[in-house]
Amino acid sequence: MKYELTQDDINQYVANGGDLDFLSKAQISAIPQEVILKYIANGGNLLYLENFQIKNSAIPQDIINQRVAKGYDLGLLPKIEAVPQEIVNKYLQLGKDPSYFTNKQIKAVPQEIVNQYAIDGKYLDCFTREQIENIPSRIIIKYIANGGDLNYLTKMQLSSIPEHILFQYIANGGDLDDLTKFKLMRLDLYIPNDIINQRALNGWSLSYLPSEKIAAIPQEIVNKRAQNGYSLENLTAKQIAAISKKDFDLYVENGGDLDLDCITEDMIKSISQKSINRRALNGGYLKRLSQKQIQKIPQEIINMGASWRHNTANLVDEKTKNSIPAAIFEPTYRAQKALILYGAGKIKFDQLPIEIFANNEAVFVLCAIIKNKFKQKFNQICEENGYTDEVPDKVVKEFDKQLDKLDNEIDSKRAAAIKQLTEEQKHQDAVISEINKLEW
Amino acid sequence: MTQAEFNVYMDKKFDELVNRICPKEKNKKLSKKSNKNKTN
Repeated sequence: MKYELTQDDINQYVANGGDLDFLSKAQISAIPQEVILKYIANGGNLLYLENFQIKNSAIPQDIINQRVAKGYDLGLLPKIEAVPQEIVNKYLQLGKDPSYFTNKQIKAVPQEIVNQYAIDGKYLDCFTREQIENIPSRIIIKYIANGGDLNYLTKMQLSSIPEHILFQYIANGGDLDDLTKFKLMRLDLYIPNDIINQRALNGWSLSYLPSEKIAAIPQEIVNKRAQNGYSLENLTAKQIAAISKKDFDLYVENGGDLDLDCITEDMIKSISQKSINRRALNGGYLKRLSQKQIQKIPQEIINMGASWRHNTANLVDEKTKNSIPAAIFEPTYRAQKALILYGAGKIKFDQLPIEIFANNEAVFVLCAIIKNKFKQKFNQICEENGYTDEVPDKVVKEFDKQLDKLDNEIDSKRAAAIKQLTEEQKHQDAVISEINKLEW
Repeated sequence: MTQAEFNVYMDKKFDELVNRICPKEKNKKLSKKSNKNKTN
């Protein structure tokens, strides 16, 4: 792509809600404030903006209110204390993080909203003692059964929890240390096996469980835990040794922690190169892998990982990173440029370079752009038709349909991109093997 | 659902899509689980 990006491309991309992640400081600083305001109102990430763009006097209160009313992330947003209570309540009705509001705003939140947070099992720490005391006991029961944090409840609320609810708490990932701390249950006493198995299957931590209870977890569940990349910590050596090579390969691909004492050198050595490559492509940490294993990762994958900021730390150390030739970043710049043009509406989905789809970070950015496009379109439909209070089912169904279509399109592009990478790698391997056959 | 709830719904659907397409997100989920359970 010979086309050079103009500031106008960037402005349009940002006005459409495009992420600022890979724009330079100079490009971001040059964006007109009216575009920045649109970006802020539409939920853009404030992390990348310059101080002068987000200082109090730079953002009118109604832009702040619009962002809050739409339920977007409030980190770094100024003047939240001046958001009207009605909008604060609306934001909290969506179950979003309440920690950005002042004590005064929180105190004025209706009890039914606090109760809803308790049912969802989250953010209770943000509310006042009085609001927590007023949560009805039937809701407290649900909160605990969902594995909610016990530290925010009153002594009174903790004192009357039935045993079967505590079992649910254990199955759903509740903190086991807290059970002992609040003298609610002794972990060495009777806990049904199926409760512990459920906890193990869903990937929750097994710390604090007595070893004989862990040893009783069936191998089938240990294997499933491994396949999903969930932590193998606390499982017995016998259970870990019984994980098949195939399941352990999946553990590696799915980002399972390799830096655990229970994972032996022999297990590390046994990992297939294909799984290491997939792990690298997914941005997984490569710590514990041998230099030999890391060196076998196709250069294309390293380059893509290294050139996208987020993956760099995972793939290479500082010294290696600094020695990466500038040319390696070229494909990324090309991809980023294409993403900006796509976000600005200047190129179509089908014109995006295929390499974008093989890189998680790029797909991540692409999805964020498409999400904004979708939301703009569907919000426009709602506003034009007066669907503010009630969005008809047919609109929601249409959204679902289009999202499904997008999902399939990304999937097939991604498969094609990975296939292309593998073909290139096969070709490179063949060439290297031919070279190795030569006698000098 | 209201328009605001529809927006949250769309966000959630896209989060699910990204989580499925980019398994890297699983790492985040994992660390959340281990934080909650103080495995470190």
